Amino acid sequence: MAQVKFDNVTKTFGDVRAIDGLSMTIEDGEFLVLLGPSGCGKTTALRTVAGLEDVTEGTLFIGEDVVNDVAPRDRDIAMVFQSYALYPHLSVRRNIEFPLRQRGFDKAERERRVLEAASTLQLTELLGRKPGQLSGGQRQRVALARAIVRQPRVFLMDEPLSNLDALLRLQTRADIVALQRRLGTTVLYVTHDQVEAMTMGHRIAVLNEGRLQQIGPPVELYERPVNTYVATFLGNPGMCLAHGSVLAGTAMLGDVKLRDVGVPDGPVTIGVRPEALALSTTGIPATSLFIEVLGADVLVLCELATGERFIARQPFDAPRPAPDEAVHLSVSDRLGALHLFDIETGVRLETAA
Amino acid sequence: MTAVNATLADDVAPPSSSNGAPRPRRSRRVARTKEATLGYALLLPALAVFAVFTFYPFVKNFDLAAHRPGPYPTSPNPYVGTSQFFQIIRSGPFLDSLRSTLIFVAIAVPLGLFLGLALAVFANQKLRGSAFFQIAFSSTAITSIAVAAVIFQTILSPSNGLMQWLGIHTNPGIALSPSWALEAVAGISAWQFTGFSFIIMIAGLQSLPEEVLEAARIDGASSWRVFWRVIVPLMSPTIFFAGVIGTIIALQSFGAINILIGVPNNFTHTNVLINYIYDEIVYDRNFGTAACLSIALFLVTLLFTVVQFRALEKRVHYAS
Repeated sequence: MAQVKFDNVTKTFGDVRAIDGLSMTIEDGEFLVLLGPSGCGKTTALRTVAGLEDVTEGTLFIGEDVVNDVAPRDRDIAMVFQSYALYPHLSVRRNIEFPLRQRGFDKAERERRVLEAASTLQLTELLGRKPGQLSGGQRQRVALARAIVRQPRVFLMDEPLSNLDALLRLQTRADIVALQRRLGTTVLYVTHDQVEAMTMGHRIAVLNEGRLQQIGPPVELYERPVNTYVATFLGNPGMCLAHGSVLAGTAMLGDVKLRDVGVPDGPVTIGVRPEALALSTTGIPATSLFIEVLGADVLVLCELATGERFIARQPFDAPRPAPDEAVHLSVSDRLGALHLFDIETGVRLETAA
Repeated sequence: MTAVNATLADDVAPPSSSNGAPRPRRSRRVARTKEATLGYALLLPALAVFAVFTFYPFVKNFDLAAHRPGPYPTSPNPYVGTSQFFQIIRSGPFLDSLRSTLIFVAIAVPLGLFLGLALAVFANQKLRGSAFFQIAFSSTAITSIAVAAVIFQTILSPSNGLMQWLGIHTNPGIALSPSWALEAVAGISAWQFTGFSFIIMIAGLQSLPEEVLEAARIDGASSWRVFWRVIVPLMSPTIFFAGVIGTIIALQSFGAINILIGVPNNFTHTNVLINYIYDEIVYDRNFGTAACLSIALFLVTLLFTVVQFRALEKRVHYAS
């Protein structure tokens, strides 16, 4: 077990800066999720830790060791690939055993560890099968077993759930979290799925265009996003944004006063999460466009007078407007429900409310 | 078959026109006959070529093998059934020839497979200039065997070749040496087969799942082990295919021996089956013997292919 530290790491492919000056530390025993859209550099970051990509600039540490020039096999890491990357010609047993064989464990120890890993992941019955005879979920478990069997310092996981169907994904998500809790191994987990990020990680690091946007516990990122990018990326649907202003210390949307915020006067971007918006008789005037009944909740998509769109998350039993009906939206008066961002840079403005 | 087709056609047919059913049915049958006629007409050129150059010679060969030629060209060729065939395959010259053929294949094919795979692994590295090596290594496959044989003849020449320049004096020349001629020619065939096997191998390598190789590197395998434990098993269908094709080509490899050793080939040690057949026809006009040898070669090729499929296919891993 060890911490992983990126110290100003840059990785370029030709003219493209896939990772741009990334600095962060994954603590010993931490489950860190690297989150971002495709092409944001998260997989590249993971692959530099694996040693499958070399670092163009900066320093990469695993534990106390600088690993910039260390071969993958000498980094004492294990990786779970999106495609699982099982050895198709080897049985499940030999797949799990492969890392042990390469490292010269004796036969009795190999057998003990394979059986232990197999029983942890409920693969004991399947040890004699070939990967081609397994379902997606079973293959995924074999990939996990192969990763844990050697007890490496760090687990790297590259979207390991994205090839599973929704129900299995939910279950495997919980299994991976439980497994990590039990083993206490440092995990670097890459995903583009913000639900996975919110539910699995001790901390989330949001990447965009190769740059770290924000790193912190899921709740912190959700409650206090540092910029509009993180605000809209996290949450499903993400935070609603609109052009507003601060006038005499009060946040305004059009001519509707929202609340005192203690921010210098001027134009700002106003952000509200869907669950902090409610349909009401007073407040921001809007027109309902589309109503989505999700089951427990109902999403009401509204258009403001400016043409910007807000989504209000309503309880199932709340009265629903008809499409194209004139409505009003009110912002919850809960502390932290209203977010302000710099209108130019999108950076969060700390408010008194 | 026809009935089923007719039923199916009836099932999917649009509702018949208002004035009665029988007319469309007849026109459909006419249409189908027309279509079949067109189909056969289109096949005809290919069938004709096959008939003249493949089917007829194949059948005629059995006919030739069943008749023993008389002592003079004008004497009758009595029908002898299979006796001529069995007599020949038990004869000393045939067994010597078979032995030479097997040695030839045993050198040329594994060597070509190994070199092709090794060079493909090398040229598949993402390094500067790998495109050049890919072209260079595959070029032996498209070099005319006549050109290749002449080049090697020069290299191996005892009087003015590379061997002399290297200070290696051979007497007689390698191409005439009872101990080395067959090995030399097999080496040249291996050289040419290398290009072919290289092309197949590099195509196979490029379709390997990249992540599996990466997983092996992370799991602690050295390059050598990645090659033997992962690449070779994953490449086994490709290697198997190249091996079967290479064996068939090698069993019929004629050009290098013919040019390098010379004609007529009077050396027992280089008298591979295909050369034996050629000499029997061209120099001895012995069609019956040549036909029997051809059947023997056909059976050897068939046997090799069947054995390869039976013995090796179990070890081939087809990715699912």
